[in-house]
Amino acid sequence: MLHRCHPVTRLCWFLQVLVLGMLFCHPVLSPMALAAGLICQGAALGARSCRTTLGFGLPVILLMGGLNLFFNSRGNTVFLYLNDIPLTLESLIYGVTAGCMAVGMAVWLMLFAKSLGRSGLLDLFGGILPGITMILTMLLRFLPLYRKRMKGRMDTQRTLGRTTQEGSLTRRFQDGGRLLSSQFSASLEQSITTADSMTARGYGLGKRLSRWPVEKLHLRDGVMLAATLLFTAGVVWAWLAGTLDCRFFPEITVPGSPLFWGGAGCYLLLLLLPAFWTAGEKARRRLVLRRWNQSWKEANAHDIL
Amino acid sequence: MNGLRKLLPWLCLAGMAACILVMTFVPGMVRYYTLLLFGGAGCCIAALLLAFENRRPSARALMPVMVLVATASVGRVVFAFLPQVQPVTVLVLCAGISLGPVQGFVTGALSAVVSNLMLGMGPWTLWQMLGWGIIGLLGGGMGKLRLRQKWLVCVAAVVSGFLYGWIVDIWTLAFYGEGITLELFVTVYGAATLFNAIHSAGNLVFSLLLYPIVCKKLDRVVKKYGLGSFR
Repeated sequence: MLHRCHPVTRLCWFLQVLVLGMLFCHPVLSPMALAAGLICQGAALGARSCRTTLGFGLPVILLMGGLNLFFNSRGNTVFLYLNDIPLTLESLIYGVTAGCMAVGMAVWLMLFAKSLGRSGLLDLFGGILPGITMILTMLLRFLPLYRKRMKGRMDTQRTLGRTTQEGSLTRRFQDGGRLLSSQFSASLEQSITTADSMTARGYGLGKRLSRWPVEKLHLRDGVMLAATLLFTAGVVWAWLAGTLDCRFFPEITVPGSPLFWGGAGCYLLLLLLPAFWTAGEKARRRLVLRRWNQSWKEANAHDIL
Repeated sequence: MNGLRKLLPWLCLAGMAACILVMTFVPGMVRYYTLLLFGGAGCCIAALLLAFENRRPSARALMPVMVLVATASVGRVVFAFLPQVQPVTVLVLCAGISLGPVQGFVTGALSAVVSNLMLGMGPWTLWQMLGWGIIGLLGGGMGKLRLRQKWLVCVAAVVSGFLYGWIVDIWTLAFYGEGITLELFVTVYGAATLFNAIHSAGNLVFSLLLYPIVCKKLDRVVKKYGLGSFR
């Protein structure tokens, strides 16, 4: 998602979407956010991943709707009495809306993690949190190494007749403990050696960064940022004017003024920006390919003939 | 620029305080609980991570944290088949006791991130970071006050099992919107009691087994390589 975008642009867009998504618990806007999330997921990861999301999302929505229906008896529109407990339409819609909001946020967060990735995270936070970034970068190397060393240690111990697979339970437990203990101390010592070697090569001296800024800000990032801020401004304007509020109890009231439709439209456009982005990329690629084809044909016309 | 760096953690803490105050005292804010709770947690984590960075940790000072994070995440993944039983809480507590409060917080927060890279990310990651981070802070406080007796650490491990559960359950509450009512609170926290009790029991066992060994090794490294001045 949002290919060839600078991580700052991606972070900015996702932050707007997540904050707005948590801000609104609204019978129109929350399902809209969920639907847009599914569309973007389908565009980015394929339709099959949408099916898995729906597989866990629909039960959550139905569960929240059902729980609210049975445990929340506020609201005017009663359609059934069950053991003197009124089941109301309002509480059902409220539960379904809250479920849509929760699942929508889960989808957006998943897409956020997928889109940013490890390199994006390191690029973003390498400047402001160099130490933490260093730890995370080293961990990505250290975890496989940890497993490898553990295996080597186990093999060595087996030659001494100490295995975690044989013998009485106490014996196995002791041997396992000894293994883990030695692994831990050795890792600590070896990590200090690594640290000294890093210091000897100049880590932590002067203004050297823990990252290599790979990505640069381009014009397209500026356009994307401007669009994001413009649509967010539209939504916030409608929200500040009070048209995006709604009340669930005792009766659902959704103020349907032109400003509301403007705000909702801005929100929808903001949510669908990545889909437009992908479509634009595809169109541009096709255009470039066609142009290249033509120029190639013109240049090699006499060869073809 | 340097002044701004020093100021940033305090700004984040002020943001957290503002979120909590607005949530408690401004009446019409009930609908924005989700946003305010997530904002407050994010600000708290950002403040402590920035405080860690402002100490300009040397390469040597980073390493024990890294090894502990690796051990804790591997331990969590290995014990993933048992509900709520994992060595992370006790290891984070030990990190706090031996290395210091801020290092304890960073160990806890990063363990949550790294183990969730393997077990699955989600909105809960933020709250797990906060929960384990605060346990690290608790351990750091115990280390500073020289409360390092074995029985005290066991008590702290049992308490932190519940503490972690209570912090992580805030996100369950946060997603219900519509304010935190006493009924919702009792329902969610009552349902979680069994899991918290299992977590605490696991912590007790792990602290009996791990605390003396892990803290001894960490103290030795701190003393041998002179990481104490960093504390």
